[in-house]
Amino acid sequence: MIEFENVIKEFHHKGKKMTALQNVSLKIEKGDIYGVIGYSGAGKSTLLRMVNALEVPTAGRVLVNGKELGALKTLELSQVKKNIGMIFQHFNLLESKTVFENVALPLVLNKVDKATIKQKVKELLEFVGLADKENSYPRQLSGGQKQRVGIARALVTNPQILLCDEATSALDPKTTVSILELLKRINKELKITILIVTHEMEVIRKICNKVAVMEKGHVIEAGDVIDVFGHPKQMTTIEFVKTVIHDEIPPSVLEELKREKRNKRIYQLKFFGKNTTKPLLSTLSKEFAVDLNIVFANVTELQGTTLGIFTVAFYGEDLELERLYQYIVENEIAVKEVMA
Amino acid sequence: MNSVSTDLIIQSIYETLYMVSVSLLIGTLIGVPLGILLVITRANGIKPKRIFFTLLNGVINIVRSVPFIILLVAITPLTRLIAGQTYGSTAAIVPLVVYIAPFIARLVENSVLEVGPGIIELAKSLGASTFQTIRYFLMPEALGSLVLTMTTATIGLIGATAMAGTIGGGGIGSLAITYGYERFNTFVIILTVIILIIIVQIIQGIGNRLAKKLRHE
Ligand SMILES: Nc1ncnc2c1ncn2[C@@H]1O[C@H](COP(=O)(O)OP(=O)(O)OP(=O)(O)O)[C@@H](O)[C@H]1O
Ligand SMILES: [Mg+2]
Repeated sequence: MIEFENVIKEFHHKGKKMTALQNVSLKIEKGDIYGVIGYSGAGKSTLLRMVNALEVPTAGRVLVNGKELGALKTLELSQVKKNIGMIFQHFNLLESKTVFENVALPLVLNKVDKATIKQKVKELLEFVGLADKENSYPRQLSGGQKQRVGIARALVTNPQILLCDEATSALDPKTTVSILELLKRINKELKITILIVTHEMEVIRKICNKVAVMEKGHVIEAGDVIDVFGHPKQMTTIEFVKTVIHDEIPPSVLEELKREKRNKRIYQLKFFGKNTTKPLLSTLSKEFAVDLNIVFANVTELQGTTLGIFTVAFYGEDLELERLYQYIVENEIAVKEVMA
Repeated sequence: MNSVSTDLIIQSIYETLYMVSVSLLIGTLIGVPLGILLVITRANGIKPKRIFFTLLNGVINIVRSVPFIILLVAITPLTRLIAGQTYGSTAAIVPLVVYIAPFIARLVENSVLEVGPGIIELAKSLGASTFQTIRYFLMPEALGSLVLTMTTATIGLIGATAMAGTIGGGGIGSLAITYGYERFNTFVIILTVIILIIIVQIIQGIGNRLAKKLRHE
């Protein structure tokens, strides 16, 4: 649905060259809720804005529905753009217009007749839960309500793609959740592909099925959320994953473990989906001459599946501990030793 | 009534309002488009045109930096050319327009620039043309501020008409000079000041109310 092929974007600012995107390739499939995460200045917004041609690549290609944007004539390009809705961090509502007029704006620009506009706007305000607010002005709305207006406006032209630039960054956690749920509904019920840019891992965890991590203009890791969350490779990814999935042994427990003199090894085990329910630990304690002690555990819900992280201290002879380790590996459970 | 008749006062008020409204109308027709052009042709505007912007900006600066009383005298040939005479309320409209149009352009520029970059970003994302961006995004959003702007312009214009009156433009300024100052009639001077204050207050009041309404505060 959306493809980036070796996209490079350079900005020239006061005679200095600045490369915002360095050879980015990414593929967003129909039906995805694709999240792009990265720290400030990573190039996320620049990437997003290429999809509706607000930015033009210096090199490389951006394809939407198989059409290369750079090769389109003005008229064809505006046709493609009408198929793309966009919402913003600061909502960008017209303060001088009512909620109804704000939502109607894209249709007014497209010279749609009044009756159709009325019907379409009402339908969307109903969908986002603001049917009673059509005559209010943006000043009279809360942040969450404003973003709902922004969403209704973005959807009023029946787009197939929705672009979200930090759509929840200006909202409190509770409102964020309700907006994310709305985005999920839009994806499911209206079959709209969503590309969302954020610096909050929580957003990715709650609604995305795919994620790309960006750093200094590069995509450093990308794929299914469950894979990236389960096996983060790059330092930045690990940091982001940490913000939503805790896997560190609490310091007090760590102190105690260090004081113990018994021979032991501490392993971090990761379980995905149905693996979580396998009785691995009880098998281990039965089959091997070891004692075990769970020092840390965390189960996170992700995309309808679960990611369980258990840090377990095993006590016993070195040989037996080595055999146990091999057994875990053979059972295809992700395992790593945490400290000697 | 101390050597000025009520008729004369009413006549003067009428002349002042005539000069203000006609020059405001023409000044707006010239100033508003120029103000918008300043916004869209500037370096980071939606249609940057460097040379055009620099020229327009320069001309406006030059005209704005000439004190009105000097402008009045300096453009006498132009006034004669357009109005056919240099004396009277109608003739005064020419320098008043030359004075107020660049002023309005500057004020409009400031009002429109207040509209945040987010709104322009929105217009772009919706594929709006330059005209649509002005018509549906910039102007509605700037309207409240524009009303205050026009109020400021109108009040500036009243001051200028009073000055124009001193060299034969008629109106309240003329009344103050010929019947007050030249005949040492303090009553007339005070009366004209009071009339001017009342007119300014009324205009400011209307402007504030309208702006408040348009901003939905
Ligand atoms: N129009 C521009 N002119 C010059 N430099 C720009 C422009 N737009 C973006 N940049 C630069 O490109 C880099 C990437 O910017 P971008 O806005 O894409 O980052 P981001 O990941 O969205 O960051 P944030 O989380 O702060 O929004 C930044 O260093 C920024 O300064
Ligand atoms: Mg950004």
